[in-house]
Amino acid sequence: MSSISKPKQFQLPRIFPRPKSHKGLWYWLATVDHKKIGTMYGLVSFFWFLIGGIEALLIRLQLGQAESSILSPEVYNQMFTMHGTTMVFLVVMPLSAAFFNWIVPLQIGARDVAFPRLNALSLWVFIFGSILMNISWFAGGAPNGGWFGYPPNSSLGFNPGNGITYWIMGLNVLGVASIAAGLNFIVTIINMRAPGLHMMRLPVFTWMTLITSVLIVLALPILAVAGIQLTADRIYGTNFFNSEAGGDPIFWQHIFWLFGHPEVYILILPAMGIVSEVLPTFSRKPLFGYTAIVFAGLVIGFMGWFVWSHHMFTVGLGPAANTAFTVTTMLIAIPTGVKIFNWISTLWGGSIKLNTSMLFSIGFIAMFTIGGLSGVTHAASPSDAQQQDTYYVVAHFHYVLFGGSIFAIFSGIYYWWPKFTGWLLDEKLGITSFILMFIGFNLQFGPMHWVGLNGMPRRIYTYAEDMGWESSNLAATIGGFIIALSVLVFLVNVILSKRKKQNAGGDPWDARTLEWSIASPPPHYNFVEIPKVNNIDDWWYKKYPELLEGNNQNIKKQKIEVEDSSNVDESKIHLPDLSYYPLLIGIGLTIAALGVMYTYALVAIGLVMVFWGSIGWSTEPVNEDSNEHH
Amino acid sequence: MTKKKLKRIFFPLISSFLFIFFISCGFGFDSPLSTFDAHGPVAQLQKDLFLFVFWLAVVVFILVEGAILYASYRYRQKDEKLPAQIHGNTKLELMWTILPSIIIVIIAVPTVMGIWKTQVMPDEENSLIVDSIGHQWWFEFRYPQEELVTANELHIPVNKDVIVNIESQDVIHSFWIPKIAGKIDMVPNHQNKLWIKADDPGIYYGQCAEFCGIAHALMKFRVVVHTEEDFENWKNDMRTPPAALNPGSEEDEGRKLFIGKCSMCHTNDSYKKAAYHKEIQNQNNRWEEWKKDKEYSAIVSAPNLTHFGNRLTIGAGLKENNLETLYSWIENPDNLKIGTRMKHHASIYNNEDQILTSNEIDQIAKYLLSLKPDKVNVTTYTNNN
Repeated sequence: MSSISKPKQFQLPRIFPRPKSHKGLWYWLATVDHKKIGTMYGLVSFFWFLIGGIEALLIRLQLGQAESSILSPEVYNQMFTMHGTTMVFLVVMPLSAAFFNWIVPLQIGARDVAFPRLNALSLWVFIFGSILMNISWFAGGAPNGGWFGYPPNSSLGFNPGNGITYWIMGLNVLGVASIAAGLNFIVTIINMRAPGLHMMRLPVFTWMTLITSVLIVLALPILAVAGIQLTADRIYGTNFFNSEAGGDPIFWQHIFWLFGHPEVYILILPAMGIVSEVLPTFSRKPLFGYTAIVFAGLVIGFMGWFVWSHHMFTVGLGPAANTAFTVTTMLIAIPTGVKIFNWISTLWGGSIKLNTSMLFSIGFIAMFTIGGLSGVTHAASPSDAQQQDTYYVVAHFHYVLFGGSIFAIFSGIYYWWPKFTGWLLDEKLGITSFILMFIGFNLQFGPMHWVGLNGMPRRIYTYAEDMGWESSNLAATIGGFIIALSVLVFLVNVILSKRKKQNAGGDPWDARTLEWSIASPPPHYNFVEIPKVNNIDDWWYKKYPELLEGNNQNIKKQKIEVEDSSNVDESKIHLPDLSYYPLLIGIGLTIAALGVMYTYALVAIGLVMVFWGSIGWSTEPVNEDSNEHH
Repeated sequence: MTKKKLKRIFFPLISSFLFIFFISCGFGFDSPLSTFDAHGPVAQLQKDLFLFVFWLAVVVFILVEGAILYASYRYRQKDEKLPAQIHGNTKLELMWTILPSIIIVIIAVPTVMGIWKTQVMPDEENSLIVDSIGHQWWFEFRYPQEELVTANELHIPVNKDVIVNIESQDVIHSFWIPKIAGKIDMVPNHQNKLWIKADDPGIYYGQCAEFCGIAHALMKFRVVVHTEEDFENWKNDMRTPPAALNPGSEEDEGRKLFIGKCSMCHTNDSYKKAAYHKEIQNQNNRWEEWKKDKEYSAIVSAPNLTHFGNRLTIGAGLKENNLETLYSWIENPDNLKIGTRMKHHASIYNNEDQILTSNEIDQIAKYLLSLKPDKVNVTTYTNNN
């Protein structure tokens, strides 16, 4: 903000005036505050979590017994396609993004992300992209080609109708949101750290956000390329994957999994970041092997690029390729193991407080370990030829993505909830929901190992009575409903606790990182004064300075309060003003994508909105020209 | 945290986990598609390798989960004192980097050996060659050395190396006989090879394992493993014409109907000399016809029905082959299997003038069941698997 008066800039005429109030619908539509954006990410993706969960329950109902006909085969195929796509792209990724948004600026002592309006753009593009994909349910049928969309089954010749096109257009729009968010967080974490917070002092959650963001920026464009090629095949008659005209369907698999495997780490690294915050806080000792955990994360992020063909062990790439990918896949077990051992060592010798958040994090280690070990059995590619595309694989990745990512996300929700809202969630209900989820989860996905080894293929809408799969499937279905019950308990917990509003204060857990040094919920500018950081876990050592002198006995906690933001002259703090343009571009992009399937008029309208939004965005002043800000 | 409270949390967790584990074990591995009932060297190697990795994983599992439980219990919060603030330990880091690396090497060696053992094909000259082509939603089998062709039922001799050349005509399928060998995908425009060998005569289940559209769940096949002698008999059977039908019999009426309504897509006389190449040509033509007009083409790819009366199943391994199921199938394929091309394209379903009467369906079914070699050489199909 310079105080030199600028020459008058070109500005698009405004249809809506910028809202001035910090309340109400218009404010939420135009906000660029990372916390508000994080909240909206969280709410919308939790809504999709419920939808994806209902899809899962319908699948489980259909498979609960042999030869049932609750869902038609066609609807079943749509259901598992949308369950997978929803949980990956509309739940775990954006729920992680909700945490990135809320927590990363607070952990690095910043007032916002580097590009607040770009952040809002990510949010709106994500929201409208998620709606776009789900419109398909009402527009002739949802996508039915699996979340992996293998052509030629997803090619026009075998899959007429708009379902698959909705799926691709949805993914492409969502990709824009993810790539923009990824770039935003990379720049934020590199550039906006508080003084003294050098890289090896970064909280591990922020580290994992950085690695995840790099993976997003590199991986999502690959999916976009594949998506554009498949769109062209379907709409403009090209033959990239069209085997009938000599196209190569294996080509799709390579591109998809070259994106798809890093994507797996995009889903799990934020979870690893969350538990790396929770475990030390509730063990009341530092994270064991900080450097090792950070480097293991980097190694996983790097090696994630060299294993994609383990999704293709049965494609027939030949023994040489299978050997190479077997070895690289097995190697990934090493950095993953390093993380697990360090987390256990963080517990070791601690003073462990077993509250809901901690239980979910410990549950994460326990369940993720199972998923990791079954992963090693897949890596042995000869025996994977028996397991590929069976329920054994379904069991494996649910132990990783549910027992892993979702457990960690719930851990994060309970951990940061008081920071988000200023009040605490009820512990009794919390522990109840954890126990229910743990039991339901294992009952649903444990028997899938067995039924998979017993030969049950994936993606079948029915099975015969004499296949010997009924008891396992019934158990899994019951487990699914127990999980649903635990989610219900969580929702009840939120409602009841909101009524009670038990005040959390700024630092309810005696935690370690900067976000706990300010009020809960934080003021919109976060920090009254940008903190100066001298240590890793700086807030912890401000509370326990004696620890820095090597003193380890009878430590006394210093009376140190979180930042008081009641008497702050806000006019001295510069934050960007609200903007409607991200919303406008988000809507425009989605309309254009929708138009690709129907009429170019819609594409034109959408592009005009995108163009108008971009010009408006680039010419509007960051702050309304008002003298009091100078 | 009190011990009591801790028990209240951990007891349901551990007991439910163990409970689930043990009842799951009780579910057994008795499926006809079980990967744990190996009847061939490939499946055996895959099973042994799995169990080797599995038991190593069990050891790691017990150590890791034990450590998690022990630490959570032993180091539960007892007072407000801060515990010793330990930041890390380089020796430990080295240990748990190197030890898993060693375990990985121990796993990698038999794995890589297994890859080459199972994926390098045996000598072609001493092997039976079978071409298997995936179709939505059935399997075609061709024997180029023997010039025989059949569908949904793979016949092989026991203890002989078989090289299956695997392809698909339409979308990606996967060829899988869990008790004999792990799967390999059937990909259009790619030819894959799978080595199979069966140790014991019997009937085994095969299943498509790659999602291939609406009837994916119902795309199966059977593998009949014969003794060496029986396999020779089977080959002779496949070259023997069926007995002549009595003019005017139900079967003979069925034959006339079949020629008029079904034979455009279904060949049923591949026992004839030189029929093999003609059938390949026919299948290609059917495919080209369908590609030209996927909605209304009068001709589509369809399973060869030579000696259909000897088939064990109908609908690609779906139901036992008998008059009742066959009637139901011809009446309306949707009764047993959704999505078939027959239902969509055949005039007997979509042209009101040509819809079959129940009597006609009966005659066709009886005719099809009469399609057996005149002199049956194979006496029994041992059905012990």
